[in-house]
Amino acid sequence: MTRVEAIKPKRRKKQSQIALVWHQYKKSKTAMFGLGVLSVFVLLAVFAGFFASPESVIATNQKARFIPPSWGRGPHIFGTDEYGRDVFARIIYGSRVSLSIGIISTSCAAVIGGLLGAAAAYYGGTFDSIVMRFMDVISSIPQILLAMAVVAALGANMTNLLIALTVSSIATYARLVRSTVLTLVEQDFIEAARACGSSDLRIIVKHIIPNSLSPIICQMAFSSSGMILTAASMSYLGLGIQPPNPEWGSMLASAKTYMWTYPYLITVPGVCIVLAALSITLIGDGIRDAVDPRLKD
Amino acid sequence: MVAKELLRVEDLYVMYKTDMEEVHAVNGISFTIREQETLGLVGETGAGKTSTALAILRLLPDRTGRIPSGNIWFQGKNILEMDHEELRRLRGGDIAMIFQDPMTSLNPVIPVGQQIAEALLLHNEEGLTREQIEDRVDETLELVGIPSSRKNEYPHQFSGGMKQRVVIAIALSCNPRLLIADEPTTALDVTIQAQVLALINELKEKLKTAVLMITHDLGIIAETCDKVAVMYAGEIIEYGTVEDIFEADKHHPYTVGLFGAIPKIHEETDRLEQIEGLMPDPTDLPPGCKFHPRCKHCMPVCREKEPPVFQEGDHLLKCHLFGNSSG
Repeated sequence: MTRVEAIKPKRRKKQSQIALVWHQYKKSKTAMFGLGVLSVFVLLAVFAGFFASPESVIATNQKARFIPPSWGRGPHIFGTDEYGRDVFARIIYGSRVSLSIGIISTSCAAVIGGLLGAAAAYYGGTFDSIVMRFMDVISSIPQILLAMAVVAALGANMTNLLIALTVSSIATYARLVRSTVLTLVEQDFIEAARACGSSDLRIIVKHIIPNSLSPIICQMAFSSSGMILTAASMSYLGLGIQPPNPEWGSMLASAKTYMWTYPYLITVPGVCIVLAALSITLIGDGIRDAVDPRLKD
Repeated sequence: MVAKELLRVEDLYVMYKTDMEEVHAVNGISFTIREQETLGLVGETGAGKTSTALAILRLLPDRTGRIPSGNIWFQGKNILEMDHEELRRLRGGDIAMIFQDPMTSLNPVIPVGQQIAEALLLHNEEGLTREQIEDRVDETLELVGIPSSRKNEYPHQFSGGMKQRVVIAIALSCNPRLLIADEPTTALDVTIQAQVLALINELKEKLKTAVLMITHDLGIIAETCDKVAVMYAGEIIEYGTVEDIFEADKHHPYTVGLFGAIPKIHEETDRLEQIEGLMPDPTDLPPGCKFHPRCKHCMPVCREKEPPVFQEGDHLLKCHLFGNSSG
């Protein structure tokens, strides 16, 4: 025992898990770029009230139609649209809608789908068959078609759009989580944990969830950018956020008439959609690499 | 003085039942392990060694594994009648297990120190504080020869032998009464094997733990065990002290065959002797003595009647060759 005391090292400062992940995350330039872009969008969305009042986003002004973008050297950075509304204001109010749709519907789908998939893997048998066949049915319908069907049945508004998007991507999560859990349960370390006296709950919380997290986080990032795109397409098709409320997709839809004469009207929301989707995907990549200890150097 | 009895397995049967077939993995085995004693369970792949170990911890797969009859007594309590909570305390607390493959028996996303702490937390009957547990983790790591400064590293940063040391550290962290080592060195190369065995031997002395050593390597048995049980097709066909198995004149033909298959350092041979044939299919075991299709000394009675147990001191043999002489 003396030997033990002699070489006892000074205790390494215990870093929290989040700090460790952040340390790894910082190393990726693309992931930091994604985070930067997304932060700008989030800040603009949160503090939208400082830049424009909610009324000005909807109120029309016939005297100020089609003012070209000033790019910072005038009152309308991105110009004004066919009703004389400030495009910049509509973009930042629209980002509230787009971002929250992306985040909320992804989280709902991940939680519902994840629970269903995990339960299917855990209980197996008939329950597994019923759940997974139902998921097969859902995933055999194209996502946008399913979302359109839900909106058509329930009516077009924000809540129904969320429901539609959630339902249409539950299947992906259920299948992902089910397969992850099935492979994990077979692993020796799960049996070792059981042999060590861990309860079922502890095994799930300590061993299964942390090990299945990285594919789920990755999938969440990719699908939330997909959600933003689908939400934009739905609005573009007139099934999502209804005009005059601002949303990137519906802005594209109304701008398409003026595509050739006033191209900035279609470029600005288009670029925003691309940037938001891209930045979230990059963040997803970064998180996936950072949470996987096997990729650490 | 004879040490106190720790584990007694009585007439244990294990089978795996699927829609298609019934696999008779373990067929009526009995043995005892006394405190601080090491019992070696040796046999070919598929002889039912691991099934026995899993049955002792009640870890057989829920959907297929069954224990149709038998008793497993541990410190006077029947493991087969324990409830959930008692089992949870038994596993890892009183009986710990080391698995075959250290590469997969550690959780890849948790640092090794935390995995040891986890075992301690689960069986924290003394009410240790966080600090004390951390100290214990350091101590345990040092005990198995890993610098405690490495406790924040992940399993993939360790070599195979080091990982097995971590696995051993986890198993021993709660001072179990019995350690089940299921082929602890199969996945390791020979030099590391020797180190790990020496470590198990040393720790067993230090911590006064009994060991059930499962292996197919007779060399490991000779080095570590006090008693040996030779398993074949789910039965113990020979049982005795290490001296009985390695030095007595009477042996089961299967044990003779096993020894014949080991290369001898002082004799030059072109070919090793082998036991003809394969282990019988556990879904369709032959009648009579289960070894008779491969036995050189097979007699008509072997095909019909299960051999009685022949006893000479502590040495038990299950073979018709000896059954007649003792009556």
